[in-house]
Amino acid sequence: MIQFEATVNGRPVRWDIPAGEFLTETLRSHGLIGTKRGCESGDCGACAVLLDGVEVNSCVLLAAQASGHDIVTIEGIGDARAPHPIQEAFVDAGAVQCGFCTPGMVVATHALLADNAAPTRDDARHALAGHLCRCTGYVKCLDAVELAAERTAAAKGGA
Amino acid sequence: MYLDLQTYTRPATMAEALAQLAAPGAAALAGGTHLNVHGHEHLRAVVDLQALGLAGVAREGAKVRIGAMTALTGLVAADLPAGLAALGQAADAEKNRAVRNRSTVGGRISRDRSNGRVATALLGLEAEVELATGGPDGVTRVDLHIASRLHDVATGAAHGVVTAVRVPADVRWSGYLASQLSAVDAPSADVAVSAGPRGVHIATGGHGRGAAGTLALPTTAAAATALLANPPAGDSWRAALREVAVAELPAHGDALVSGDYRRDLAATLVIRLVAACLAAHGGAA
Ligand SMILES: Cc1cc2nc3c(=O)[nH]c(=O)nc-3n(C[C@H](O)[C@H](O)[C@H](O)COP(=O)(O)OP(=O)(O)OC[C@H]3O[C@@H](n4cnc5c(N)ncnc54)[C@H](O)[C@@H]3O)c2cc1C
Ligand code: FES
Ligand code: FES
Repeated sequence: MIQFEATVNGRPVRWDIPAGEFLTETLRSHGLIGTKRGCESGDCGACAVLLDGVEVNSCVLLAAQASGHDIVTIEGIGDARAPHPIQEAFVDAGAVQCGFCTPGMVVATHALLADNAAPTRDDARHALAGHLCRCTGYVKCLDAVELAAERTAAAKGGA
Repeated sequence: MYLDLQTYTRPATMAEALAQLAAPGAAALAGGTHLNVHGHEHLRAVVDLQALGLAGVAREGAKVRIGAMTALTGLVAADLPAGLAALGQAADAEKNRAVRNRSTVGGRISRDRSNGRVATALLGLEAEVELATGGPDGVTRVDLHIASRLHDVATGAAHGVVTAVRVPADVRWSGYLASQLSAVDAPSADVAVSAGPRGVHIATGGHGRGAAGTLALPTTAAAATALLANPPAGDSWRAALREVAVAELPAHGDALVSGDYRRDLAATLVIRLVAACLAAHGGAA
């Protein structure tokens, strides 16, 4: 076992973990089950989290590699009681059906908007590439990114 | 999911890292996007390179030095000279953003399979690879041509830790082009071209192992390069270039495409990329 020390959703944590455990597993075994287990090979994006603000696939990252860093999961972005505007945009745009891909898509959108407040449709496509969705056909996910960007810009303009 | 690891270490010096890597079953860990997925069955210890200060891009005299731990997105975002456009283009073409955020330049030229994209671009730019070797008694720096590094990796003869790659800063222009079956596939063939004071260089690469187990390593297209030093007049260079490119490129087939298809595709990509670069840069190599 090794000691994992990091900031998870703004909270310092110290957990004992096996040296070879992947971050998806560590997070899920500590109750953060919004991070999904999909392909477990870096291909589908269901397990995406932010590591020091940058999107990573937690299924191909040893938890040990993330020790000492800042991790944000979907739970740290927002939840049903206090949804983030990006999560609301996904619901309002009809981009959520079964919802399995949604946490990863929201994390990717969060990373995109942090870098680029006014993404084009192509920027959104580039950012969501690698996020597989079996339900929506992707068009509504791209609409959701546009809606989230518009609302974020409007909120900033009105602030 | 777990890897069956006994130890994970994060050394703070290269001497410590090299000493830890000398243990049986130990491997260097960069982004982990390959090792964590395909880690071999004898892998027992990983030596994480993240604390060694190997990330970053800097101008060093006539070269641009790219630290081995620079992520592909870091390469895309770096303020590289315009002549090194091929590097950003190849890095940006790699898979999805989450993978590009973790995949490192050093990892990309240290894995024993599918050395396309950034590896092809580095070969087209005649990169040098900087290695650290040795152990507790001292760290030695070794410089290798990128082609030798890729060959050593493919044949299992690679040693040391890649600390950086260096590319010439005086390249006038360069470009990268790939063709793949779908957006999520590795390239069936890819091409990088550069032009600078030392002439035009063409490299082609592709994915996978051939039927005989040989790797479709990025290859320098020397005859095609020579032809461009003295191109036939008008548009006839295209046909001439296709002929030499098809004659000299290897025909590695694999599960993705046949060898003949890959070679023909690579020759077509060479012509398209050279034409696009010449058009964008006033027709002069
Ligand atoms: C979804 C997905 C898609 C992918 N698609 C492709 C693809 O199309 N083509 C492709 O080629 N790869 C692909 N990969 C594999 C991988 O992303 C790349 O090869 C990547 O560049 C490896 O870099 P890394 O930093 O993650 O290396 P790691 O996984 O950390 O290491 C890779 C190998 O290099 C060694 N190594 C790493 N750094 C150094 C160093 N500095 N010195 C010496 N040895 C070192 C490690 O010991 C290991 O053997 C894909 C991976 C994923 C998850
Ligand atoms: S579960 Fe991690 S990318 Fe699919
Ligand atoms: S909503 Fe079902 S996988 Fe995307």
